[in-house]
Amino acid sequence: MSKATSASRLYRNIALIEFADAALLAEVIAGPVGRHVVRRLSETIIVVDHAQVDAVVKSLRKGGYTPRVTLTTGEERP
Amino acid sequence: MTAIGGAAGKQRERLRNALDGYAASDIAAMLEAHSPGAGAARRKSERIDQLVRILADPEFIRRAVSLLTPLGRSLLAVAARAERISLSALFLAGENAEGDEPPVRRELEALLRRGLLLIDDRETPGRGELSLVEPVARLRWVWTPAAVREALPSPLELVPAPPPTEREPAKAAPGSFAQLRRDLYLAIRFLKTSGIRCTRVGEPHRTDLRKLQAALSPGQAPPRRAGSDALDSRLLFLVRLLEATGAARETGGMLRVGPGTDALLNQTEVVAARALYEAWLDLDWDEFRRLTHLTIEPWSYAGPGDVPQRPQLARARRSLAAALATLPDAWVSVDALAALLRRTDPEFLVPRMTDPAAATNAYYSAHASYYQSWQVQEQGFYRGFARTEARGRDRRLRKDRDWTEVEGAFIAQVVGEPLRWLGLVDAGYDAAAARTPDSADSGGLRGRGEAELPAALRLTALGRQVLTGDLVAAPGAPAGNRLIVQPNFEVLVLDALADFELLAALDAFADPVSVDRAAIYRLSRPALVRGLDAGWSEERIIALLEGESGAPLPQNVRHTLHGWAAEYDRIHVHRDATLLEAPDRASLDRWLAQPDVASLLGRRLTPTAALVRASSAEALEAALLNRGVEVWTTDYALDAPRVLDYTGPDRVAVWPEDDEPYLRYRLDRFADRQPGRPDQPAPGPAGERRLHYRITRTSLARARQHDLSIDEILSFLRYKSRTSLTADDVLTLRGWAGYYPPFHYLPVRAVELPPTVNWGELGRIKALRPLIYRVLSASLALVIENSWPRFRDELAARGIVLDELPPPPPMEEGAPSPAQRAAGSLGLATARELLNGHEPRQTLRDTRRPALKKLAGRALLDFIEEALDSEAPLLIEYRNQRDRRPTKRVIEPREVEASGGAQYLRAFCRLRQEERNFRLSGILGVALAEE
Repeated sequence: MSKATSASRLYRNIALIEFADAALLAEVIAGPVGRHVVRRLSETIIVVDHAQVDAVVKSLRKGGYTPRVTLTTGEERP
Repeated sequence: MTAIGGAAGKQRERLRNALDGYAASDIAAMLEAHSPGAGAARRKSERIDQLVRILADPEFIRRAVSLLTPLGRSLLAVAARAERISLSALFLAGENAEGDEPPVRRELEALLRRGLLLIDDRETPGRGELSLVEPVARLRWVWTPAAVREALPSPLELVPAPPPTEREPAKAAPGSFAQLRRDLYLAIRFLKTSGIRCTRVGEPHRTDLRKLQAALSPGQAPPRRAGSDALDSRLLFLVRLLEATGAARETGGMLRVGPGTDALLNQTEVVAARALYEAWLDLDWDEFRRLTHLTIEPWSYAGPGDVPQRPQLARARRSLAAALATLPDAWVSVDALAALLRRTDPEFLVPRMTDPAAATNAYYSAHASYYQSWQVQEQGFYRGFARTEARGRDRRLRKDRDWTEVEGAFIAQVVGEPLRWLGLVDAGYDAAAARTPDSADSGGLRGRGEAELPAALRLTALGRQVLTGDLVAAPGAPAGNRLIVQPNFEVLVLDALADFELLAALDAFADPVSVDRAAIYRLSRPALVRGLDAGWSEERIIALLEGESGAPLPQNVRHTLHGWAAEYDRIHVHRDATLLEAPDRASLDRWLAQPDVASLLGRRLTPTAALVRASSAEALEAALLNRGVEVWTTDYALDAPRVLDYTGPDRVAVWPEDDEPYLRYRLDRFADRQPGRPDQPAPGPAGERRLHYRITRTSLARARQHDLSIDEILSFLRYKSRTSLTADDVLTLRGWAGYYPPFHYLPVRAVELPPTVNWGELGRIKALRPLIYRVLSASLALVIENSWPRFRDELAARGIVLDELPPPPPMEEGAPSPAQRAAGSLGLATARELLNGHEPRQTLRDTRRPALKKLAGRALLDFIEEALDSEAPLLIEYRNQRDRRPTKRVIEPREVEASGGAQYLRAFCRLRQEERNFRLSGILGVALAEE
């Protein structure tokens, strides 16, 4: 493993979308939101283009979803 | 000596000075009027001393006042209100509607003779005269001794209140405070969600006022563009009231809710009404200028004339409010109210005489002295406004005759608009009443504008409480049955206007359908999501609805709300999150097991990633570094430059430390990732290789699918590599992206003429003219290949020989380019020479600010292209089309572009700290900038 990948990385001001299940994620990224996906973090979490969050939310609402949008400070605990 | 003693001494001194101006015989007469025989055989000064003692004695004055006639007492009370007053104002206060002057004159003369009214010792004609027969006598200023003021009540207590009208007005416009409060609530709601843009002069934008107008009627179709003036006025009045009460505040050109919103909405009705009434007393609102039958026109250059200004309007509102508080509980004629004010406060709006002390402006002193001359003042015209619909001399209004048309109309205007809008009075309109266009002779008003003014008014119950100050709060509605939730998702608020707090809560998660005495809201999915976004939870919403209705929600409503809320939690978008990604699962496990690191972390999202508390990002980084963990931080709020190596479309590389998913995502949209290139040495740390990308025709076609324009790509490459793309690269990438329309070409021959002839002369020859394709300059033109044989023959027929030039030799490597040649000819150093370490031929670098060369056209373009090639910053003197003064600024050239027939230099401006376009024709001077 290279040194770049062996280091830990801290991403600030990143935009994430968490889905209730993998099927819902697949359904969503098959639509217009898919073009703004930067990477898939897990089966139910994706990183989206932070500069396009408004467009992503608009697309989701247009698609009939009612996403919960929060300014995440990470303060909530599991 | 006490302060009171000091005031009494001053008062005596003032009395003595005033009496000193009177004739000795008048002093004697005044003394005789109070105590017969006291004035005989004494010196004037002794008489004055005695008179001063009398006039300063409160007991004596009280007796003297009690002996006055009712008219005399009311006139004296009016005079006592002011520091000093003109006799013309007192004449106006005393005369009845028919203008009966002699009784008033007699009363005033009697008051003067008793010394209860004293002629002011300042600038006044005929000072010290007790007779008022001469017309100019009306222009005297008079004042009352302090003891007189103390002995008299307010004039409103001396003059009987206006009687009720004999019959009710034909049409009544009731004042409704509930309506006002509802509209204020909806306006505040509008300000919270949208705001109102303000124009440069601070007025609300008309378009936004239309939107506000629509917001005041929820659930109805928006109004048409052409609204009535009255509606616009009321909207403006609402906005002004909100500003005055602190419920709205302008910030950054937008009017938004202010800190006083809750205080205004959560008060009881009567307290809120009183607060709004008090705000109106000093409101920036001009009722006088809203009188359509009067036209404001400049009377002179000495000021606004008699047009009431803001302080005078505020005073007039207070006087009017005091008079209103004395009205009976019935309809009262506006004319009767105007008459009451005329008798008790004749100068409540417009002073009868100009105070000469006020006109001290030296520049306009000539005008001021003219308009304040006794002769002009005696004419007694209102200055600064006139009748709108009259001509010539008829336009002028007189202060002694046109009270009803000016002050009376003002009172009607205040009654018809602000007071009615505030819900304090009902306005009555009656075509048969005195205030009609046909009743001018009977003292009524004339003109179209006046006919729209109310003829009568009646105080509302709330108005009486507010104006008299006897506030009695109504009991509030009991909690528990304030709303009903219906199975069709409608929420009915029973007494909506009494509970704005509840309406504000419902606004958070339901849509208003109508707001009136009872309000209807509708529960919908978007509205619920809005509420959840605002921090409401499903449980809190249901608790509020059940608590306020006193009953459980209908089953279908509860079930649907639950379904919508559950749906809301299925997709969670985290904006501006901070994420830690560990190299492996074990590392994150280890860090989470360490309390000091775990306390900085939030929820674990994946085996290798966890959310980080935004406020703890630096602390986390430090904690990991202390443990010897290397942390690479990427902040997406800062779009980092210089993360790419760009040397051509097929050579775009990313260093390992700059490699991160978002950069890859952006590159992947328009470039192809290349497999590792073994021919490259390993430049990265620990033998790593760079990540290589290649831009191709195909990859740029993919960019189009992502709606990524070629200009965005070029801008991205320039910013991320911090290098200027060569002209060739820009042309190539734009060509691949399909940026250019097809280029056209045509086989032609270029013909150059000797200096003895020019193409203008050849173009005049009929046989040659159609053969010339394009004239490029006086000596150079193009001829189409097909026409060439004929062209050659025509010239040969005229004895002219065409001599073919040998082709120019190819340009040698290192030879100066046209730009270098142009710069050289002007004695300027080019950036390339500077980069190569050559000394400039002209010592431009000797000074901190190099001398600017005035270049234009091709020479300027060549110079700029040279700077572009060498990435050299330029110092330019630039004048844009708007500014008259040129500015000097250092720019980093990016590209020369043509648009709209002009050429522009796109460059980063260090003065403005942003990328700008500079029109080449606006560049007055240019030089290479010092670095």
